[in-house]
Formats: sequence, C-alpha cells, structure tokens
Amino acid sequence: VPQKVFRDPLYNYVELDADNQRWLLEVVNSREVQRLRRIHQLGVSSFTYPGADHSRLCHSLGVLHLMQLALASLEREHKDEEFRRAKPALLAAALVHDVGHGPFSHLFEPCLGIDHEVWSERIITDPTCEVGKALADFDRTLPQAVADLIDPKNTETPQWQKALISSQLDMDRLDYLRRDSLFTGAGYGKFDWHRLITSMQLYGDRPNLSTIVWPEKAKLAIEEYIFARYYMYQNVYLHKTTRGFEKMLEAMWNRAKTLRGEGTEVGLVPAIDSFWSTEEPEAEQYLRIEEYTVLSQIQAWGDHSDTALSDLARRFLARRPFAMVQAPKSGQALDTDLSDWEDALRALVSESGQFAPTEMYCLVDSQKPKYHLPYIPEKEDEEQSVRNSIRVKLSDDKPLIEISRLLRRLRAFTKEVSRVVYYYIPHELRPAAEKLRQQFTGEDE
Amino acid sequence: MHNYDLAKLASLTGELDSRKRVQKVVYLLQTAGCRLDADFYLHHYGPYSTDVARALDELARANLLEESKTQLGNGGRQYGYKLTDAGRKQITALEAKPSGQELRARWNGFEQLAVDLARQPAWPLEVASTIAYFYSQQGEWESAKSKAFSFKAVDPHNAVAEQAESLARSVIESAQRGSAPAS
Repeated sequence: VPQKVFRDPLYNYVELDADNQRWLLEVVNSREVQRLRRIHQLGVSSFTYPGADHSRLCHSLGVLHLMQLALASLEREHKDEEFRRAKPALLAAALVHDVGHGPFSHLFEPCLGIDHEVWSERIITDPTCEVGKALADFDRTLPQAVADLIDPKNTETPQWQKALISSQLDMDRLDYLRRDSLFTGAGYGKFDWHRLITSMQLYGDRPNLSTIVWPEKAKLAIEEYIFARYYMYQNVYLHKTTRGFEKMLEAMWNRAKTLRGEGTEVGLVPAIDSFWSTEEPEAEQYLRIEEYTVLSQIQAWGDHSDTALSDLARRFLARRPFAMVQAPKSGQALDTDLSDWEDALRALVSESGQFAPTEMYCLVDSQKPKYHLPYIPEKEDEEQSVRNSIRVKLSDDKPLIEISRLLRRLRAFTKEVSRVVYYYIPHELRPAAEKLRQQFTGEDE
Repeated sequence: MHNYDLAKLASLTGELDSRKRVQKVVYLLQTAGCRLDADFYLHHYGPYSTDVARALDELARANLLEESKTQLGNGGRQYGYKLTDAGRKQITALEAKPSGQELRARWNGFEQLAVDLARQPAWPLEVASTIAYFYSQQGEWESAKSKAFSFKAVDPHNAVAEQAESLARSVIESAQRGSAPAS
C-alpha cells in the first residue's frame, strides 16, 4: 500500500495510506491546517525553554497518529458497522481539533477576546474554508460530525468517541505531554503511552453512553502518565517566567485597545485592524492573524509614542521579564479578596514615579489555567465520568475503580492544587515589594 | 464560581448528603437566575461542573466544610458536607466587608429555593436538572423533556418523571419571570 509519511521526532514515522486516506491528506494540505505551522504549540514557553519552538501542526499530526493506533487497537474487539462509520470523523477530529488556535495558542485568546474551540468549530463547518471543503468532499456530513466531536457541550455524539479527543486520558494529552517534554528538554513526559493506547477498552451497555476504561495491567502506565502530567504542570505550564510574558503580552494588547478607544492612532497592522474593526469577523479575517502578524505589530509598537506601550513591546521582544512577587494570602479558601494588598502594591509602583500607567507595570495573574492542568479526579463514584476520572476495570463483576483509589500513593499528586496569585512588576521595585509583602503577611499572622 | 457560594449554600441548607446533590442544586439555582458562575456539562447523572467539584475540595481541605464519607451497598462512596464553625465565622467576616456584601447580594431571593432544592429526593433532582440542561441548549420544552427522559432512561409516565418535570418547570419559569419560584 503506498504510504505518505511524515517524519516525526516522537514516533519516527506518521503514516497515511496514500490511496484510502487521500481525503485526509487533502485535510492536512488545507490552508487552515498548514497555518498551524505558524502557531507555537506552547505559546511563549520558548522564552523560558529555548527549545520549545514546536508547532501546532506537528502536534496535530501526532494526535492523528495516536488516533490511528487507538482505533486499530479498539477495532480488534469492535468490528461492527457503527465503529467503522465513526472512524473518519475521529481521524479528522484528531487532525483538526486545534485548527481554531490563534497566535501563541491559548495565551492570546484574552488579547483577541476569542475562544479557540468556538473558532475551530466555525472553521470546520465553514464551506469557504479549505478544511471544511476537504471534509465535505469526502462525506458531506463530516464537517458537522467533526465539529460535534470537539464541541464540549454536544450531548449527541457517543461518549467514547468524544473521550478519545478530550477526556482525562485522551490522544491530545498523550501527544502533547511527551512532545512538550521533548522540546522543552524538561524530560518529565516519560510514560508507557503504547500500553495506554493498546490496552484501552470500551465499557458500557448503552452504545451512546459507552466509555473508555483500562484493565488492571495498565495501572502502572496510568500512574506514570499522572506523574508526567503533574511534573509538566509544575515545571513547564505554570512556569512563573512564562506566565509573566503572557501577562505582558495581554497588558500590551489591552493598552492598545484603550488607546484606540480614546482615539489615539495605534498603527494596527492590516489583519488586526480588520479583525478589530468588524463586529462579527469572518473566519477569513480571523485566520489572517498569525504569530508573524502579532510579532510585526509588537515590533511596530516598539516605536510608538505611548511610552508604556513601546516600553513593554521592547521588553517583550528583548526578553526582559518583570520580577514576580507572590500574593501574601495565596491559598485562602473563602476570603480571596486581595484588594488591600493590590492597592498597596499599585501605590508602590505609582509612587516610584518611573512607571505609568500603573496597570502596565503591575500585572496580576490570578486566573486558574483552563488547560494543561494536573489530574484531579472526582471522588464520588456516581459523579465520575471519563471527563473527570481515569477508571480501571478489575473484572466483569466489579464496579469500575478510579485510579487513585486503586493506587493510594497517587493521592498526593491528585489533590486540588493551591490557588496561586502572581504579580509582575519592574525588577527595580522588587525589594520594596517584598518588604510590603512581609508587612501584609505579618498582619495576617 | 466563588468558594463563598458553596459555603453559603451549606449555611442555608444544613448538611448536603452527596456531591451529586450539590452539583444538581447549584445547577438548578443557576437556572433560576442565581449568579453562581459555574460552568456545567452533561454526564450520566445530569449536569456536572468541575468548578463545583474543585470548590468543594478546597473548602473541605481548608476545614470550612466538614466532609463525611458513606460506603454504599454497591461498593461506591458518597460524600456529605456541612459547614464548620470556622466556615460560619469566615462567612460572617467576609459578609461584613464590601467585597463580601456583593457576593451576599447574589443570593437575595434565592435562599428559600436553595433550601427547597436541597430537600428534594435525589432521583427527581437529577432528572429535573437534566431537563433544565437540555432546555438551556435548545429552549424547547417538549424536546428537552423527551431527551432528558431518554437520556436518564425514565418512563415519562412514572411519578418521578412528573415530579422532575414540575420541579424543572418551576425553576425555568421563575427565571423567565425574573424571580425565585414560590416555595
């Protein structure tokens, strides 16, 4: 069988059948999937880990490869028509699940005010987009079937199919954990992924509610996966320097929006000007915004007359991070109000007389990340599902058991992570900010 | 979702006997118009929110909620929650502050509904929240009912179906009127 092969650093070869999967090659070759070459998988993590320059395209091909392996493995037990019919949409969804990502992946979403999942669905079902057309040319129902698979609110598509794309142990995570580990050099993403894929099983009597589970022999591979996920979260995804650059980019963008709202010319590059000038932008307008677009914009802002905007733009391009100060009361469960501390920290920045406006030089990172979280399972059995738990089937006559209940040593790694609030300020102000923080900590004791 | 909201719920209702109950009560309160800002999706036992699950875990870890565990006959476990003295004190302290008053105000008009929902039998509560979930997706009552009964494998002529329908209807209609349902 003639093969189309892609060399890949994780799997060596990602192979497609050049005859029977020609339609999938058309999807790979679509303009929108090729655009993913120009989107960093890990946003600005390369500011912290210089090797982390890998793209969303190589990740997408990796997820496609894993989906092929998973389906081949499941097919050994499931040779029915329903399973056969589900395969094209699952392969396509694996390949295009990230097609709606904007520049620097997740981190740019607040800058543009977008949600990549919404854009992915729009692009896949938009007949003017090449990706949607390539899918429809193969099967006219495919664009909607793929969009349904990646829509988290969709309740019609069988659960086991959605679970392969998005769950606590899905093809997306299996690829990105190992790929991000390899390219960052962090080295934490080592686990027996092959066993996880080849041992997974469908479980349940009602076809639409069947789910994915693992046999007991996979328990140590699951354990390794959970460790990998935890370490990658702590060391890569939550890295304070990376988060600081993310907040810097966001502050820059907010500043430009404010100035533009006040009538100041901010010299927008055409793609961004077009997107911001349209109330409901078309997919074409959105897709024109790439990382090169954003970097050109930031470069142009480096010479802007607004000193704060140009200062942050130059800091970003030259990788000059702000200093991080942690909130004095991080971890409070009920009273999360940090306004007194924040007012004092802002006053410190403002009174220094060197940095204005204050909101550009006192950046707050208080959001819990939506993606790349460690594994925190649901503990009540009846509330467990593939979306919140990884479960093991010990035998036909026993109920499913969540993995941290089976391997109790995992509990230390599967608890809710503490709420952390970071503040980013110019380095010159750090000693004074640390003193201030001590005063607040003292007051609390 | 703010952790205060779950602590407040426990202060209004007294002990909540399962995480499942907490999930469905929060969902129906939100449906009625109480702004709790939790993000839900649908699974076997009705709407489920990771935000609610995380908030419960955080409050229990901070000893503001006391967590109790019950072993069920089928081998499963169920977790109950009640507010501790420390939790009660922290609610009072927070509500004395301007930021706490804003949070408190979101509960105005929904206190009695919280109490009523927490007392509902578990099965109709699950089915009612599932009807409300399907209704929120399409805004069509008959279709929402039929999808929910099929999803939950409930006979539409069964007493549970009737109870669930009535509960879901009162919550949805109250949201449309802009007031909490009459108790």
